[in-house]
Parts: sequence; structure tokens; C-alpha cells
Amino acid sequence: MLALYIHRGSPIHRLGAGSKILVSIAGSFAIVLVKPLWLLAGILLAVASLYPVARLPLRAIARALKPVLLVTAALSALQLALAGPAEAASTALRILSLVLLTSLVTLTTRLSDMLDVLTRAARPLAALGLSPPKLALAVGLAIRFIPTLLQDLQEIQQARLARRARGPSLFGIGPLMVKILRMTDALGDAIAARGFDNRK
Amino acid sequence: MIEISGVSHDFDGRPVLRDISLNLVERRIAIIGANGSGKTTLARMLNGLVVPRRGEVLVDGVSARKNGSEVRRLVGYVFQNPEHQIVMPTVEEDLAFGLHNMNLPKAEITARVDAMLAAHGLAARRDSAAHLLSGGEQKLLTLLSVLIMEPRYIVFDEPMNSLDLATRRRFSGLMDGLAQTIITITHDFDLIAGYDRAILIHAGRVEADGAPGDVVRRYIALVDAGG
Repeated sequence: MLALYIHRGSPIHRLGAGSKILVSIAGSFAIVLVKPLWLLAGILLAVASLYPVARLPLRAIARALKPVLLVTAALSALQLALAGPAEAASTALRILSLVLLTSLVTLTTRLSDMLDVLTRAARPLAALGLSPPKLALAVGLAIRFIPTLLQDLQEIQQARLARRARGPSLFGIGPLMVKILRMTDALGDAIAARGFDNRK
Repeated sequence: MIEISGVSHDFDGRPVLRDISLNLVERRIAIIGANGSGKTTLARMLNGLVVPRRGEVLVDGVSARKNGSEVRRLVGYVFQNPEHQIVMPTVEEDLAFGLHNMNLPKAEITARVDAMLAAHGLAARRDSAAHLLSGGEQKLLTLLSVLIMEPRYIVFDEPMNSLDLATRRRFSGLMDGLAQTIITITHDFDLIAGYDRAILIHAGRVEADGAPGDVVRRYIALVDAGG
């Protein structure tokens, strides 16, 4: 799912990062706890209706949703076989609502604003010897590098195809892990070089 | 001034630098040498990313060993691969990253970012995703993200690597116009033609030090001799 910030001047973009994160946490609990199917369907519709309000590119988001839909369909099929149609439907509604709700937050909130909130929220952990800015940066980097790593994986798969490689495409994970380890070293240096150790 | 005194270093017992002593006072200094000669390790010592096993690096009197974070404030570093230097997802956020690390007030961060974007014609790219920028734009962003922190010295690691002609010209023009002292690690001899000084590192030692033309000739002679 496409999850990086897309700049628009919508009312949802203008909401504070802290409020959006709180609403998404509360919403996620509600999605997990609510049982009636009609209510779950209502929540999904409500969340989906916020996307046009946020003026996000709906076609691009629909394309990015395809893998999520595939996973949802597979899980629902399993549920259908194991627990019946009602469970299958509620699983599908829950997954889609959760993905759309959390993505709405990341798509409409600058990462730096989310990191500020995370840093503040993690301050009590400083008493345990943990560094709130470092924790927030770790989360931020994970989000920042999702598209880069997906691009790298695609390049590795194309290189395998170009060399007529046999075997499952899962074999591309090995070279990707090597790339990630190299990148981690370089990234650590780049972060240090820009004075992260001075951050309060 | 950057003073390097009696610096030696090894990685897992393999020596990479041997007893290097240099005073860097010129405005444009190039460090050249073969791959694996130790030049990148030397450059990384200038902003405290690598601490030498023996010897000392002082930047304006500040010890890179004892006060690495202050040295990193004085010396900016533009890495070879921009993909690994861009930390934040959008242009604006990446420019602001170093300023947040300096713990500047939000108003000053915003003002500096606005000024930098306007000065380099990037105001329209403010919210662009950094990973979707072209290679040249990413390289420019890495330089601006260092410049915005207003260091006194900037180390460039292979700045022209994989840039097209137009971007090379733009980037080279930008480097020429910088007020800071520049230390450039490079294999690009055209780039350093107008530099004040070049230093050739060979097998971890200073093999030649002087005018770029003379040092490049010495390097070519060394390569021709199979060194």
C-alpha cells in the first residue's frame, strides 16, 4: 500500500499529527472490537469517504491497494472454509478498514510531524535508558525506505529475469538483504554526519 | 584549519593509513588515489566519522576524537551515493533534518529551508518525494542539506559520480561558488584543475602533495609504473 505523504491542502492534511494518530489508534480498536457486519461495513465506507475529502489521487491509491486486496481475498477465503461467510466478510472488512485508516494518516501527515509526536510520546521511555529521538528516527526510516526497498527488490527481480534465473522469485530476498545491510552502514554514517547525536 | 598529525589507522589489522601528517589551509583541496588507497578513510576522519587508531585530527582546534559532534557541525560531508544520504521522505523534511539535529527553533528552521529552496529554484519541489527525484536532483538535495547547516568545511566524496553532463556543470558551478573550504575526493582530474592543492594517497601514505597538475602527473606515472 502506498504510504508516503502526499501534499494537498485538504482539511485532513491541516489536522494536527497527534490528533490524527490518536483517532487512528481509537479507530483501529473500534474496528477490531466491533462485531455487527453492518457496522463494520459502515466504518469501511466512512473511512473510504475520507479519501476524496483529503483530495488524494484515488486511481494511484486503488492501484497500490491491489496487493492488499489479494491478501485480503486469500485470508477471507480461508475464513470462509474454516468459519463460514460471516467471519470471512468481517475479516475482509476489518483488514481493509485498518489499512485504509492507517494509510490515510501517513498519506496526509508529514513524517517529520509524526516523528515529533512519537518523540514526545516516547519521552517516558527515557527513564529506561532509551532515546526517544532514536526510537522515532527508527520508525521514520522504516517508513522512508519502504519505496526504496520495493524499487530495489524490483530491480533484483528484473536482473534475475534478464539472466534467465530459475527458481522462485523469493530468491531475490537474499541479494536484497545484502543491499539492506550495506545501506544501513551508509545511512548510519549519513545520519551521524548530519549531527543526529546532538539532537534533544 | 584542519590539522592531521601522525594519523595511522587499520581495519581488523589491515593497515589503511600510515603516519599521515597534513595541514589543510587552502580553500580547494583534492585528495586523489587508487581505490583502496585510504583516501576515503582519511576524508571520513575529517568529520569524525572514523576515529584514527593513532594520531590526532583537529578542526579549528577541536579534536575529532574528543568532540566528534562539534567537529561534525564544522565539517559537512556529501556522500557518494545520494540515495543513502537522504534520510527523510520529502525535500523540505530532508533539508530540515540537520537543522532539527542542531536544535534550532522551528521558526528559524522554516526560514532557512524557505531561503534555501528559493535560492536554488526548488520552491515547487518542496513537498516532492525525495526518492522520486532524478539522480541529479537527489545529488543537489544532498549538497543543500549539508549547506543549510552552514559548515565551515565541506568534504565531497566523488561528487561527479554518475551525473550527466548538464548536472555535472550545474553541480560543479555550485561547488565553485561555495564560500566554504572544500575537500574533494575524486578520480575526476578535470574537476580539480583549478584547485589550490592536491594530495595523492598511495598505499596509505602521502605520495605527493602540491599543485594539482604536478600531483596528477605523479599519479599517472605511478599507475604507468604498475604501482
